[in-house]
Amino acid sequence: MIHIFTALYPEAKPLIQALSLKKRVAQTHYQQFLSEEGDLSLTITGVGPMQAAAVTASVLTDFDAGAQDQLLSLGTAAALTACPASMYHVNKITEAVTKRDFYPDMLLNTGLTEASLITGAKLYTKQESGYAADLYDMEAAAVYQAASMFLGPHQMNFLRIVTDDGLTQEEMESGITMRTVTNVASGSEAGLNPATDTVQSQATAAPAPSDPRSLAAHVTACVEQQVDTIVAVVDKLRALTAAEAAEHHVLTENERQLVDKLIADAHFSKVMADECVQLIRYAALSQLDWQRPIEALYAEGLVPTRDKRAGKIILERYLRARILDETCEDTYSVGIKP
Amino acid sequence: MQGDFLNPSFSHIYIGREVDADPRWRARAEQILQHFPRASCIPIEHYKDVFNRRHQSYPAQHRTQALILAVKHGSSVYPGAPVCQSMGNEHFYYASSMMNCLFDCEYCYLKGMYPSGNLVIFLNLEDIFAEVEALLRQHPVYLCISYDTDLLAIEPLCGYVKAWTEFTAVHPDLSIEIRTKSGSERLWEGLNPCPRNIFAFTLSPDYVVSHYEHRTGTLTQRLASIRRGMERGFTIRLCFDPMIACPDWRTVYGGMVDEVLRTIPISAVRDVSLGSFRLSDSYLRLMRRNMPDSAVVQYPYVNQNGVYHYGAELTEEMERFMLERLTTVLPRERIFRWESI
Repeated sequence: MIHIFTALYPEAKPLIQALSLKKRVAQTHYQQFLSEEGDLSLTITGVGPMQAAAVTASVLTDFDAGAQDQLLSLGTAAALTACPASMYHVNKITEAVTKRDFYPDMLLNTGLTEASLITGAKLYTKQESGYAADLYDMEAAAVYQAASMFLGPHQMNFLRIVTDDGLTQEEMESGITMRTVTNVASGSEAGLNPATDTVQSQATAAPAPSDPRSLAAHVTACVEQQVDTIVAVVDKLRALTAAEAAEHHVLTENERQLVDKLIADAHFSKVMADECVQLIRYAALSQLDWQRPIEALYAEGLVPTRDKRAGKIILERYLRARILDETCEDTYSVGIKP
Repeated sequence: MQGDFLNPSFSHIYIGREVDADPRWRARAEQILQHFPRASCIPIEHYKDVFNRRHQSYPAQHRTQALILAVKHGSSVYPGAPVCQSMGNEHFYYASSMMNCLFDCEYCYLKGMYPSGNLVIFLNLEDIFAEVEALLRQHPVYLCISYDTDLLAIEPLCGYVKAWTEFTAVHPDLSIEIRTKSGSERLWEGLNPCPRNIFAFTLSPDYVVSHYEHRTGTLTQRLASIRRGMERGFTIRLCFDPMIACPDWRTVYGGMVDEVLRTIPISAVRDVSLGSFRLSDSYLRLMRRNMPDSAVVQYPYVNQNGVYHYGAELTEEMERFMLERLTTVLPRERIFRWESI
């Protein structure tokens, strides 16, 4: 499954529309949207590292995320250096408070320019200096650390769209605060209806910093310009997820049922059952005929067995030998009748 | 299938901060970087910041391998592992100047040993040489330099084999083994023969190469490389190790021996090593989890004293099969068969 995280509803809105996601009404702690196929979730974490970490961990726990999942962190960022592109694939994340660095694997070819990013806990102002990174945001390092409890670095991608280059002194003095940005997160206080509103493209217009509605419109417009590229990245992640799943499904459902039946009929213990599955898995991967030897065991009356002891002989002396073409010993000669 | 949307290998190069500390290391890094002008270079503090991250996927990373250029502190020369063939040498060591490999052998123990599939090159080769010289002051040394990687596979990039062979040439008590599965036509370029530089080629039948030893030289290519090396006076070892119990292994391995004997003057090889697949149980368990679709990893091996192998009967049958073929063309004392630990 693919799990997308954004901090703000206006960041998510173009993607919700492009991917035809539906709101998950059962989720009341945060806004979450799901694809019809159930292979994709999009969650709005809220602004700042604490909320980002808490919600990321909650979602990945909720969906029991593991080896076959992918995470896409999508958001907006301030440019710390001259950033000619609009959207970046982040290759290094630094946590501003601790100076710790995190490196998501750059396996996916997104075609995007890459950048380093620093995550802070407060709004970035132009007066600050000394950050050794290209971009500044308020969630990436937190999302990475929380997700690391469930996923590996090969399962995480971070995309950031540049919306500004930090607040000016005047903007700070005019009253833009964390509350302003937090209000943008839900869209509701800005008068946006998450279900119906469409924000016209205003990417080129300067946002009115202290006005949540204008700020939300600016963010949405910036994301809208990149939505096709983001959807293409999501498609690649979907293909990766499918390929990963295929690697794990060596046997068909019918074949698995046949193996389960043998395990039950031969009274295999847990250890013997594991050995049997290992044997069949190898045979299937090597295109060896493993079904006929099993059918023969039934045809010869060797299975079902009387008990686990007889099952052990069936596994070791017959099944393994016949599938692997090893010497088959006649168990009747040692006086043990299955 | 995944190749369409994955980055190519070495599209990303992580460079440790200490690389800049010594002009020799920096020069070596720049020599390597010249091969990848379009790579994205990412500065890092320490190679372990990338190599030792949690929950990494060796197979996923190996498909899109990143390169890490770093400086190694502490020892890089280790006593030979119990599961490795010493070839009768008393002071048997191996050196680790790189971690991981360009080649992609599904059964390789590196996939169970390392947390990452990315390739690390340690640029402070002189420090490893100094460590070997310290050992040489105590006793002669037999050193395997290509265990945790295939140095010849990456020779065009960094020239470590050339550096090692030149180092060996001026240290009479040092013998080195350079293990490889390379079949490169240019393998011998820039190298000078020395009896104490032993080029050990792992030979596998075509079935094993095509199914399990990805990106390596084919059997025909490896044999052609061997023949060229022998003609130029290089010392050659043949390693039929690990033998893999693939379907119809007798026919497959018999055919390989026939091709070997047709292609190279077997009597001119220094020696031969022989052994069937064996692997520490902790490594194999991890590999089975990471590589659910690999037949060679999923084989139902027998676990004995913490080592997975084919079981006594099959191991004996496979190795005896090969031994009988080889003893018809080589004296027994030049064939080193793996003895169980």
